[in-house]
Amino acid sequence: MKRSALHRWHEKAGATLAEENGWYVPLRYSNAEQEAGAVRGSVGICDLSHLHEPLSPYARFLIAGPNTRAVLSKLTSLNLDLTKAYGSVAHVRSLVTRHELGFLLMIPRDYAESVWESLLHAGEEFHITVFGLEASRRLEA
Amino acid sequence: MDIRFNGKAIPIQEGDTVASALYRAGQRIFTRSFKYHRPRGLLCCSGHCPNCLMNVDGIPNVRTCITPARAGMAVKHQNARPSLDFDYLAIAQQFDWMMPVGWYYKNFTNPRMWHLAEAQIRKVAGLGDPPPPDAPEAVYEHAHMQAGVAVIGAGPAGLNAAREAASQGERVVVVDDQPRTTPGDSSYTLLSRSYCFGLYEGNLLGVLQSEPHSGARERLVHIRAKRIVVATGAYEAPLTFKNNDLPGIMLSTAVWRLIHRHGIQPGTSAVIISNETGDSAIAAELRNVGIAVVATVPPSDVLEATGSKHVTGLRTRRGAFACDLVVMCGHRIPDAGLLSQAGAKLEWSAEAGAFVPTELPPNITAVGDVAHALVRAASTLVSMPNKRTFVCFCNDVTSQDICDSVAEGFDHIELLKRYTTTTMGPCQGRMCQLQAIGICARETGRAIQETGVTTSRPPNPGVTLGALGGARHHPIRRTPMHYQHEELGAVWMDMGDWKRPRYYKSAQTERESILREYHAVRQAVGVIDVSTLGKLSLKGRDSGKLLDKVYTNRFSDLKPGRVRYAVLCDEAGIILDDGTISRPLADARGYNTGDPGGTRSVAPSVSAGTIDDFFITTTTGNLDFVEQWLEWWLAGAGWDVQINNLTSALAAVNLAGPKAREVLSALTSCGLSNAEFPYMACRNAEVAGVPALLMRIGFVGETGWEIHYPAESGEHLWSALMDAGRPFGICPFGVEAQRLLRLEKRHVIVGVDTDALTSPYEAGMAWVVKHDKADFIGKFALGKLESAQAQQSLVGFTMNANQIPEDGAAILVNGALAGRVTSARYSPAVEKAIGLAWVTAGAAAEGAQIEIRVAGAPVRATVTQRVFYDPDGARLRM
Amino acid sequence: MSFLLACPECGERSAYEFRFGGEVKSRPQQGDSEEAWFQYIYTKTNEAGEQEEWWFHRNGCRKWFQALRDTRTNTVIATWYPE
Repeated sequence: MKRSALHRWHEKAGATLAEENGWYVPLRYSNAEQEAGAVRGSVGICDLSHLHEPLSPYARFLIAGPNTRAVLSKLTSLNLDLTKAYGSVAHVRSLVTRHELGFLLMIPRDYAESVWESLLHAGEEFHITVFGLEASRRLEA
Repeated sequence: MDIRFNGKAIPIQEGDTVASALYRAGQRIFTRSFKYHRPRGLLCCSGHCPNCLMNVDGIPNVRTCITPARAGMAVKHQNARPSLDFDYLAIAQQFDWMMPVGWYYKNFTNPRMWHLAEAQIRKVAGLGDPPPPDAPEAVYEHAHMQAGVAVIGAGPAGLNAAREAASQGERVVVVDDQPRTTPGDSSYTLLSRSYCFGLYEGNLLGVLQSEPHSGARERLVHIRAKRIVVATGAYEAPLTFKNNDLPGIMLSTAVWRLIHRHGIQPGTSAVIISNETGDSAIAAELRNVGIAVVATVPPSDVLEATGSKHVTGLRTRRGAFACDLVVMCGHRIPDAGLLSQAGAKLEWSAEAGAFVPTELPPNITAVGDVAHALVRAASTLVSMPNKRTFVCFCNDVTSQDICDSVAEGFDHIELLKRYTTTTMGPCQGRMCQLQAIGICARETGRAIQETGVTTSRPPNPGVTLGALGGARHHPIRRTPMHYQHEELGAVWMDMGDWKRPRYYKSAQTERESILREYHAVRQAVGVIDVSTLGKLSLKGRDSGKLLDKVYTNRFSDLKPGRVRYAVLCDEAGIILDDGTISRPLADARGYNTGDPGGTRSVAPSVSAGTIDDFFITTTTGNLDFVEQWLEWWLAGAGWDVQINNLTSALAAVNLAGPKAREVLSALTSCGLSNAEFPYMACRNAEVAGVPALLMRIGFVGETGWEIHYPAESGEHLWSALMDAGRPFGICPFGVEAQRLLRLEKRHVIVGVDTDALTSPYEAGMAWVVKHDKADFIGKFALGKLESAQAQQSLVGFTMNANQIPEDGAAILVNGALAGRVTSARYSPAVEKAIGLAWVTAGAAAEGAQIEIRVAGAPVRATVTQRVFYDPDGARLRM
Repeated sequence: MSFLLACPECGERSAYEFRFGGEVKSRPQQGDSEEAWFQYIYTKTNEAGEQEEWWFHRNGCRKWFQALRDTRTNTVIATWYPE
């Protein structure tokens, strides 16, 4: 089974993991409805690394919710009005793409956990949440 | 509701600053001065002067006059012992004759003396103490904003400009240092309690915001604006007369703020110093709150203030007046520092009595008082030399000091600044610059415009180091097997951003643990995570051509399925990096899993590629450089090469040792015999079901394979190797064992055993340079170096000692310095200390005797050019 | 050093995102004089004025390009990909 760079982080956070396309994916950390609600109310991050191109050097995060820009502006000088741009996020060169729910971040795999932690730290003032695939599907619905 | 001042409870009211609460509670002395420890009280009440700096909640040098008081704050005074009221160091005033201007330049010309004196001076003078190392860490953070228009200053002119720009559809940010709230209907973003400390190139503003939210102390906001409106207004600067620094002598703006913002009556009877004739506005303010105005006198009539710890009177040419408040209607000076940083010129306006900004750069405008100073209280700039007339309140520089400085020849304003330190304190010249210029002009007989102003540089005002550092987001790179190493007891080392296991704690001591790893590799099998190696794939018709041009050896003739050692030099022939370059097989020969097609789609570059594909490894630290170097030589060349950085996409391990073949054969159907998979060959194969590129190379000197495979299978393959290796006694090994193993093989580490002057010839690697190529980077210089006599060479050495020299240890021949050690370890194979060292040509002969300094004493060692372990490389080909 | 550079691929970005690659120089041919190689390898013009330079967009598209910059003011007059 393939593992995202955050696999161990998800395990430690008590995520319910499932298999999808040969990958371990985090379905939820506690309650999908609560996770989706916290994202709608403020901001949250989700690991979508399993949506992966062959031999990709990137982990893939979704950051969503009304406080998304406020969190990202603490970690990047990128102009977030661009639709797609490379830039430094938490001192790591990444690809930032606008997404219907917020922004998609492509982070070099070996830096993924470090940037994930930075996002959580920067988001503390907004009570940032982590959310799993179930919550992300609810948000997309 | 109260704050604690030196442990005592001080009540606070709504809207109080720390300073206003202390003043209301009767505190009059707020600081002791820098050099003479003179008592100082509130002067500007607007965050400009140094007179109210205190330690607040452990942070030194907080401007208490603009810091909102919050219940529970712990406030302490600075730079006074035992108290502000009685400071025994005030005795320094009696010794002012010993401390003329520039006294330490004059007295501490002996560096050793200065070394002794510095610590004592620091105790007596200075500005507070840094927080102790164990102080709770305050939260600092950064943020970035893009704005159409940034307005600095939320006074009437600034807000007008903001509304106007917003009405034109611009995204507007307003920055203001006061605690303000945004009006509900505002069309702009307001950053309050925020000061702009610098205006940088490209219209970048550095803004420091205090307490942006409950969790943070300060936030540094980088604002990139298309247009900047400077509306910083004007500030008032003090007048100069004898004892002008006594508590109770305040600027008129400070008096206004105490009365209107804080409801404080700052005295009972006042003398106003003003050029205005008749009843001034400030006189009316004072009378309104019940302060008697004893007299209003022009600055030119003032002789001196009297009093010891507080002003008790003012002596003037019109007589002496008893009072407990002196109000200075001082110069109004445009706060033009930001404009000056932006490149505007400051020109003296005699009619305004101030330097006024002109020639603003494009996209920068100035509005309000900063653009045209109001001549509210034009007054004489001239003050006679006196040792008690203070020009610079920050560093205790008097009018006498300025005059002495000019007399001693430091009469250019920039020299005068550096010699006297006027304008170099916390106020950064706001309080003192104009006075210093005025005195300098008079003493030199030059006009004020001719005397000029000193340069304003950011940060102004100062910024805490915590704010500049921001939040702790130091990036960490972890290999895909990071947590498996942790479970195995890894002791980590940092390599750039990477975390790598230095060794795994498997025995009592570090040495035993490392030796255990070493012996496993030499006698059975070991495995090391080498995912940190730089990994680049090259595709395209001209890949071989690029490699031939950039690397010193030849690669266009590298046969598919083969690996070659690669050295990269610059045009001066200096080694920049080394690594391997492989050419995966053109077809599926040697690929025995039966599904080459399927694998190709999953992992194109680790599966059988086209004939033009190359796979490069670089050293861990040089990946970025090598990638940029290759791209650079490609830029504009018009060649068909695509470089793909796969470092983060691939995990890599090196499995090595006499049992490596047996372990690996349990996990792959790829033929591993010497015939099928010889030394320096590469194959694509599945290992434990994972598509991989295998290279048979031998950095550590044993039969082994470097395996590159997709990172998401990092843990899976590692576990499979550990399981398959268990019956053979497999041991994971770290960087330290690897360094010992390679040292026995005399394999060089670029950047450890080589430096910024090392050519392949000196490093004993002449064979990597292929001069028969028509051209390559460094060819010309290497041609010269090949025929030149090497000044020094890299040699091996052995020594019969229990002491191992440190990296960099000095090498002596007949007592003279003859080189240095680059790597040294105890070698179990040789049972001696071994190492690599740079030595002068004369000491490089086989068997030459040298001495190496170990723990201060020279120890004998013998030079050898031989490889310490398995010199014929038989074990690599087993 | 916070001036803006227009990357031909990514647009105007802060100079902090880029790596400076030095002056644009033309490389001598093998067989050219030692003096020509010496000048190429070890010397720089260090122009006080407009200078053609190499820049690499390290945090962005990771491509090399060239720029004409006034070294006195850090004004970037033009940027382009080398031919």
